[in-house]
Amino acid sequence: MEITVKHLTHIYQPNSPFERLALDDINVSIPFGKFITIIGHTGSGKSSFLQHLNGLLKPTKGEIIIGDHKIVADSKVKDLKSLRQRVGMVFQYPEHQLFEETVEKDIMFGPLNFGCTEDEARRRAREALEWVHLPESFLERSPFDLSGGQMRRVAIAGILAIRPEVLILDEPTAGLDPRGHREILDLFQWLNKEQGLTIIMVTHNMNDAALYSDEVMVMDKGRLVIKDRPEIVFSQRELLFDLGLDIPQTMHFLKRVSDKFGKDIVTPLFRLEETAHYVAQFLEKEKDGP
Amino acid sequence: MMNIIIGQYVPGKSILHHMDPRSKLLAVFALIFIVFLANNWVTYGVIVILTLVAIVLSRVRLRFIYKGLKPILLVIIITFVLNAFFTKSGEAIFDYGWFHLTTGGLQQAAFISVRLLVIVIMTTLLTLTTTPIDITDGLENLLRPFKKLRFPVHEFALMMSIALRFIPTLMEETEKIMKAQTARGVEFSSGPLTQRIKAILPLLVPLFISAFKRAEDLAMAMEARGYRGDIGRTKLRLLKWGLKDSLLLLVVIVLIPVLVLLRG
Ligand SMILES: Nc1ncnc2c1ncn2[C@@H]1O[C@H](COP(=O)(O)OP(=O)(O)OP(=O)(O)O)[C@@H](O)[C@H]1O
Ligand SMILES: [Mg+2]
Repeated sequence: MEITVKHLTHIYQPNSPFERLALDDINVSIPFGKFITIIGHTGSGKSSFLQHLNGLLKPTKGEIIIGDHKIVADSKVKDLKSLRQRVGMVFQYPEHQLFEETVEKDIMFGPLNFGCTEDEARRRAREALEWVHLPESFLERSPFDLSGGQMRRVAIAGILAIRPEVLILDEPTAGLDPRGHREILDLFQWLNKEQGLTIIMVTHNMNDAALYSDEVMVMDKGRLVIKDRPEIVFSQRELLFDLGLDIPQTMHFLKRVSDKFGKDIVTPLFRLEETAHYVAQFLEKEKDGP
Repeated sequence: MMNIIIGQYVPGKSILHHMDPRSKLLAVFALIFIVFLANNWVTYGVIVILTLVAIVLSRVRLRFIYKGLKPILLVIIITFVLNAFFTKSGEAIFDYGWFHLTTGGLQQAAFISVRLLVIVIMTTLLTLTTTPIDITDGLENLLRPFKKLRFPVHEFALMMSIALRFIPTLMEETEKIMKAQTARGVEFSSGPLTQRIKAILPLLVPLFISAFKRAEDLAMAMEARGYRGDIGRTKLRLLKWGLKDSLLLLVVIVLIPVLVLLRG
């Protein structure tokens, strides 16, 4: 299910003093099975873009084509429901959408809405809970007695149980502890690699964008500035700084080393081991003398 | 979601925007009663002209005022029709069974509709040109004398400003939760009625939880910053009464004898 976006423009509250151009002529195509991250300064239109991908927002101009679905300004709600089953969306702070008495019921809510049988929904709830690393005993608990991080996982499980083919994530790790952060991202990576889900994730964390994604989309003031492999995007330091963004820690480190030795050895490396290896090699050469 | 105009401030730099909220509140409050003095074409003419002047001075686009009127337009139309057909005076224009349309009835209907329109336009102008915070500050200040009667003026104003402050937040929250549940297959705007009623729970439960949480956080934050009612409290935004405020009240006061003299 390839995603193609053509001339997507979105204006909030048009023809009022509160009118706001949130997306400005975005053209992009995302092949099936990719892991894409979107970075951009606050207010650059990332969330607005995501909400177009499953028809929660409709374009003011332009169109979005997902598989055999086409979303335009006057798309009907009816056609959108089957799209929403295939494109799952995890909002920022998804724990705010929990409402059922038990975790199990809450996870089953989505699948039931999309026409699953009780049994099937229950089976999926168990499976999804396992995916997000929560013990089965949680099924009977009230979602409101859980910690923030656990609630987040339940909410994500609630979307995974719908079995979407495309998973859209708006800052899914905001406010999680370091371990929870890693576990959740590893889950998304696993879903991408092993289950073949297309993943589109907004993040403010440059390290995550660099480490996990096949391609990075950079947004600024409603426009798509670049979409390319992380090695290429993060080589454009000046541009990223101008847009209020950053480069991954490993590249900051290489820049510092470069400054110390008066030689430019900055190169797009994102993994600690790789970077350590690279720096060690460089130091080795330095020791041997010029 | 955002089409409720009453109570919605439109930023601007007009003379009405710059006035003291107290003068505007007093003027609108007085005008609501003064409008009832009008009872013939001349007096209604004076009031309509005054309203038009106020609209021009506010520099708010007409489209906004129309939007504010839309919800009560039906009420005005019904009032007009009822009055037109049930007042019997003057010459008959049209007579059929128990439908009578008379010149007197038509005039009466026009007058009452104009009265309603003027009142709504004036209040809409007040809220369009005054921030909710200014309105509550003004109200608190005007109600000060009632404190002697043990009316909790400060608490009343605080409650009002908190409520006003959180209406947009609550609306935003509603929209967000609706979207999140829509992504989980809930249909809010289509499907059979039973389906839609079922959709209320997934919306209301999270909404209430977040509202209570917000209230708790706010109470805690206020306490942490040493809030303890209005004892010894000073204001960040001071109300400033200017020449134009006095002028506005003067116009309103002068209007009373003028209308009394001109009315039939
Ligand atoms: N419901 C709305 N009504 C009006 N304007 C909105 C609405 N939602 C977003 N906007 C505006 O659209 C622009 C883009 O907002 P968006 O939420 O897409 O940004 P973002 O990139 O997700 O930012 P952040 O990183 O802070 O989440 C902003 O200028 C914002 O003020
Ligand atoms: Mg956002």
